[in-house]
Amino acid sequence: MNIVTIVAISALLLFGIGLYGLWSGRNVLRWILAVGLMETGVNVFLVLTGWRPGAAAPIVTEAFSTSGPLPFIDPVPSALVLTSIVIGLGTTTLALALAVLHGQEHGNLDCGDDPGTLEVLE
Amino acid sequence: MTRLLPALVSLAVVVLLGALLLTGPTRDGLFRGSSGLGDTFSRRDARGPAPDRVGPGSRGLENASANTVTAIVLDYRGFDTLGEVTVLFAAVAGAGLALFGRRRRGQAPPRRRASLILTTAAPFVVLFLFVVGLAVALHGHLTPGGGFPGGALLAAGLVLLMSSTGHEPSARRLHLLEGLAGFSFVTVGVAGLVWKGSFLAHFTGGGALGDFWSAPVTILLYLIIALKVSSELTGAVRTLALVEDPTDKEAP
Repeated sequence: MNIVTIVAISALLLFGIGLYGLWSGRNVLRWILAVGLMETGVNVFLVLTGWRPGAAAPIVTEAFSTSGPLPFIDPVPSALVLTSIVIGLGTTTLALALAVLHGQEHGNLDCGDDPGTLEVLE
Repeated sequence: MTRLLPALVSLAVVVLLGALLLTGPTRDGLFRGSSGLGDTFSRRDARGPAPDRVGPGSRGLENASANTVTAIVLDYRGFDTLGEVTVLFAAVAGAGLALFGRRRRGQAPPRRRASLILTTAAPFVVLFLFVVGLAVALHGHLTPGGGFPGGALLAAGLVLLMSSTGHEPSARRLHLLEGLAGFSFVTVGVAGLVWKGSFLAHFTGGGALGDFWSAPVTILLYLIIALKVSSELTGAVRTLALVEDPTDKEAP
């Protein structure tokens, strides 16, 4: 089992934990955290696709040679993930604001369909 | 049962994704270690054959940023970054809009006094955060980092200042900073359009690769992004922190 497999499985597990968190509760804050975990999993996976054995950070140094294989990882997924992290931050902010709004309206952070129906069901 | 089902479904999704992505031809395609773009990128010089060996102090690379991720974010995909900053602005503005009119009543919101530890440590930590944040933002073309983490560090300093002194930055000033930064970004883009013929083209060349002045437009853009991100994040924290707490009503 090489390092790519280990990191990829960790990324998938992060995604899975997020999915479980999204599915198993009705707390809004829990959903936001779960989506954040899923995002992290996806980001780790994306960065991993640019990795290659023995590669350095994608910064041109004296070791850089224009012939032969590139000595560093593929910078394109890293740049994509940079964008992804920033957008994730923005959506989390918006989601938190909506959660605050929900909390002010209902006095709690639980988001069910209708409290009465839920009580009957459980 | 209600707990077991989500767990089982999530596990099934993970196993399925793992089987799909980590076996066979998909795995070979995903983990070649290169998207193919990385190989063509930064090897070709449009104006002549690339020299055999390139290091700091010599030219020949297509882009002046030593950090190739920065080169992608601010040069090749600079327009995407403008969109990214716009999305961040829209999200923070949406948060402000959602919570508009939900601030605590009264001119000065009641607040607890900051603890002795916070007030003593804050000046040093804030100074440290500002210096590191600016350094990270200014060296984005040479080292990992850049305007986004730099701006986050600056915002952390501002938020710490806010919570230790109890003074909140005025919304008008934050909005002015934010709008100015956005306007500057577009101005730099238009300058590229005027002098180099395409939006956000880097209109001045730089010094040798690896020098601080190797990519002046990158420095400028990352500084603008740092200002924009820090003012937006501070504004977001301010919006979220100053809403009325419904459980706090009994308190005087």
